[in-house]
Amino acid sequence: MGRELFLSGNEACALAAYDSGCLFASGYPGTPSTEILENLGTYNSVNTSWATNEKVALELCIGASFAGRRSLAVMKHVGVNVAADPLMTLSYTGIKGGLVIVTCDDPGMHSSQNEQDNRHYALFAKIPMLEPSSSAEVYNFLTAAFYISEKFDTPVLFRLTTRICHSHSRVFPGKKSELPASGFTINNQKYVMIPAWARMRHVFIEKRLALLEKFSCSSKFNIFEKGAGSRLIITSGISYQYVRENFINLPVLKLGMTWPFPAEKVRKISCRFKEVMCVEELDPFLENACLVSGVNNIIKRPKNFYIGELNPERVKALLVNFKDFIKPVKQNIPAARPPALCRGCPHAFMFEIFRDYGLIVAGDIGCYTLGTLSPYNALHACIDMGASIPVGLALRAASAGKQKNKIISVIGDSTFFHSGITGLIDAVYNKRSGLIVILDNRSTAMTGGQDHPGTGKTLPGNISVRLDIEKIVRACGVNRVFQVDPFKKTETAAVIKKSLALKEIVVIIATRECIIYGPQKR
Amino acid sequence: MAPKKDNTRSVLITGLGGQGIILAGNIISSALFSKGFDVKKSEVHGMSQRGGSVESHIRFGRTVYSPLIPYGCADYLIALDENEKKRLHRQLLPGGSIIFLPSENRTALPSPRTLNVYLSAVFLRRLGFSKNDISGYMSRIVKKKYIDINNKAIEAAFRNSASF
Ligand SMILES: Cc1ncc(C[n+]2csc(CCOP(=O)(O)OP(=O)(O)O)c2C)c(N)n1
Repeated sequence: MGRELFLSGNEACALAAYDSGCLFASGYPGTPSTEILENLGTYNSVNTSWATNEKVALELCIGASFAGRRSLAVMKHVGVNVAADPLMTLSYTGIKGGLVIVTCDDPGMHSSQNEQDNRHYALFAKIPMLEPSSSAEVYNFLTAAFYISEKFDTPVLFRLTTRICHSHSRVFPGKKSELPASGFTINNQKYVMIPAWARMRHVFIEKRLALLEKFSCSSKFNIFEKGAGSRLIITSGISYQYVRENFINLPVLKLGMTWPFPAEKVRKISCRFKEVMCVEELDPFLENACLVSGVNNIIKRPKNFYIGELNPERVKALLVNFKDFIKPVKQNIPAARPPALCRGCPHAFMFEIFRDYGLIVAGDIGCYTLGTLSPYNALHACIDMGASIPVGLALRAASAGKQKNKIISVIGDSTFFHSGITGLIDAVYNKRSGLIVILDNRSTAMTGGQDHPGTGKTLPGNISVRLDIEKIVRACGVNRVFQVDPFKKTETAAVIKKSLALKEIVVIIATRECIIYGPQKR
Repeated sequence: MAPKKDNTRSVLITGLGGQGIILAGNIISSALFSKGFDVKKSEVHGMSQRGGSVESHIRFGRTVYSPLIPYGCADYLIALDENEKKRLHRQLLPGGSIIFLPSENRTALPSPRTLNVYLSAVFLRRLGFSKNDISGYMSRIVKKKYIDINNKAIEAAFRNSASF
């Protein structure tokens, strides 16, 4: 018997990448994806990095792939939005070394600002997608994903969800492959997407999709499990486990490769049943694909099921009663304790000041987003990483009267590097005015304290250059920059107060390291 | 549609961020895994680390499908916090057991931080694991400097858990 390990989906993903001879990996932290790169970072032979953001991460992987290296780009679902620009055209160029993009979706929004269903990116970018349903499948599918990428000259979307990333189960690892780098081969018609050559590549893409669909129909990713009854269940990912948890005998078509949709196979199997139902999390992705493929005995799920994470009881209710599961209401049950800023967190001191001054805060994403909750109630808008600066400044510009001078932007250090700088340059260039507070806790705290360009360390723990936020801010053309210490509340409050009404861009950098993940703590 | 007839058993561990729920889950699941069970464990990291409610679901048996415990189907509830115990009580099967140490009895612990390891040991002892085995699983998981104090917590669990 071979080796048997007990791994989370994320750990299995890292091990599979390593065993597949992947030597280049990059991403930006984001729950539930973070542990994949943290684990890969423990292998010295793999060039692993936290990129400044997901777009940069994917572009790095593209470069490595063009040099013939297998590479892995890792991000949470919303990270793919940031990386979508290179992704859409990467589909055209194709790859050289296998390139897999891991998207970690978060149905139920355990720690995300939305629950977008990234399966649509496979359809949108016209690239193949794999959806494992356990750690063992994460391992096996990722190994196969590199092969598919190289065989079909395409990036592969590897879609995990929180429940797959963060659940542990058995894994049976295989052998490690060693692959020599083949180097870059000049081929402008493939790698330079000017319109004339991109048009040719689009023709290639459509052919590739047809080939992939054939491959998908005959592949071992998509398996029909016989059972009793006149209703076929089509499912993928974690939903498969919930179906089997409840009903061991139902006929199930389990899809591991969900794009391109194995239309022919699904049609052939479906017509042997009276009815077909797709059990899937979030959007009716499989359902729609079935309809488009001409499967006309589909029963559509009630729309409730487009919302939130599935679990065994919701799937049972769907299959038995065609209804959603509602937890019975019982008296005197305490509510779940919501997360809060830690005791002694430097952000807390800042939010007390914002609250006491009655400020309107255009916020950003990080631990400090919790400033919106009691006892602060002092963060009033939060959209996506980096949004605080443009949203806050325009909110201020478009407001009138007394409110105007109460509006500020608040952003964390990691978020500033990720996508705050572009907004700041816009602000200076377009002569906007307003106060921007950068909460510098020397850490990417929300996701578990990862390093970033301002910490002076890289993902594998090597010492690097520490980029100075103040110097960057000044280089962007900001003349009024103040350094404050959140623990010196009176002084900090005074600086904020005098900055509110200035008719230019003012940046306050509030520096105090995170009490859990600050550099001194690690 | 015959419901699954299987002997999968479910353990729900609950408490607050910072109490070491995830570590307790790791000790228990690695112990069960070493005994050859199919094991699945699920928890959500992220926001929950900021002092909020944290749950770890562990399921073991011959073949385990869902990593999440179906509603109301926990055989064991290990609670590190009184409120969480009340909140999740309804997840317990009728006749299921609760493993909990009331605050007034926590003086037996070498440190309040070891409650997670203590309760894990109480649970594993019930399943027939020896003190040595449990200590071994714990030592592979906790930081070196905390091994000694957690061994004391395991000792305490073997002294006291008769009274549960
Ligand atoms: C595009 C995108 N990538 C990643 C994330 C995940 N994420 C949420 S907050 C955060 C880090 C915030 O760090 P920082 O701004 O330094 O604030 P802190 O948590 O340290 O207070 C990350 C990476 C996200 N929400 N969106």
